[in-house]
Amino acid sequence: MELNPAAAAAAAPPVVREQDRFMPIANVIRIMRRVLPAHAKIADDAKEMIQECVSEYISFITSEANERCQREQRKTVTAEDVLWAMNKLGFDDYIEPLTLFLHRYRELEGDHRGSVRGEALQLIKHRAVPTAVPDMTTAVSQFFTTPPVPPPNFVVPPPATAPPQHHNLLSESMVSYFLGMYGGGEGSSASGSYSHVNGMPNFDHPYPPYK
Amino acid sequence: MLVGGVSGRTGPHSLPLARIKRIMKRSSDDVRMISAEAPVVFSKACEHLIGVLVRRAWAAALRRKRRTLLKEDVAAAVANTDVFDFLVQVVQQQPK
Repeated sequence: MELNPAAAAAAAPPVVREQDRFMPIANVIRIMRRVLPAHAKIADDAKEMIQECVSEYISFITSEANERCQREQRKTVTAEDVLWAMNKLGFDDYIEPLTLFLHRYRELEGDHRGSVRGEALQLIKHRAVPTAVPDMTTAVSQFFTTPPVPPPNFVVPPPATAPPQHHNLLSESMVSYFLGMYGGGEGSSASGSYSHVNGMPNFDHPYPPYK
Repeated sequence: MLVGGVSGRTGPHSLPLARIKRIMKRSSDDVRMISAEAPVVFSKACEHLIGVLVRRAWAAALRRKRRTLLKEDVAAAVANTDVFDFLVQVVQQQPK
């Protein structure tokens, strides 16, 4: 039996495999179905075309992000570079929901994996961004002229369900970011749960987050 | 309570991060390193892109009184949207 898989692979011509070029078609179809009515049919070539568009999109954005890295003599393409490229190439309406999404991701990652990852990010951040920003949203917020508001089509957890968790998850810098973001004045209920825990509770929470 | 992710179905990401990273690497020869978070951003961005593209393509199908989405509908969506100019080549040079 001469069926040595390694030898066979070496002999095969260097073709580009489909799984190197495109997203899995099942995932693409699933996302397509989400926005279509239940009765809609999708032709196979339309599915494939969407699949190709997704790859082209990733390449298009990455090229721009990578050029920026090279200009700034950095080796690593970061999430910030990607967001920057999207903004530059006309996808500025993506930035706000993506920034919120990245925030949630970082909260979850921080929760699951401890702080190692976060510290590594901080180092990169301090090299990449001249001002010492505690987290990327501060840097990204320069894109905004108005405070970010969750758009309707992205699922964001309602703050009311999470206050105790937030207190554990958010660093001081995150808290101050959110306070700034939502204009957290004295009367703001969003800021109230963070900043007046031990202060005088001169207004009642509908459900006190701390027992 | 956030576990299960935004899409809920395949964990937090409905597109595989490793695949996204591979496509990023292929985008040019000189992409050296990619932060772990960059594909995370793309996973969500691609969902958004597909949503916008498919909604517009479906509108094109309905205009032509069809209930089947064809590739010409996707091409129409690309042609009608400035920000999708970079996809014009893709939808034109489709083989078959």
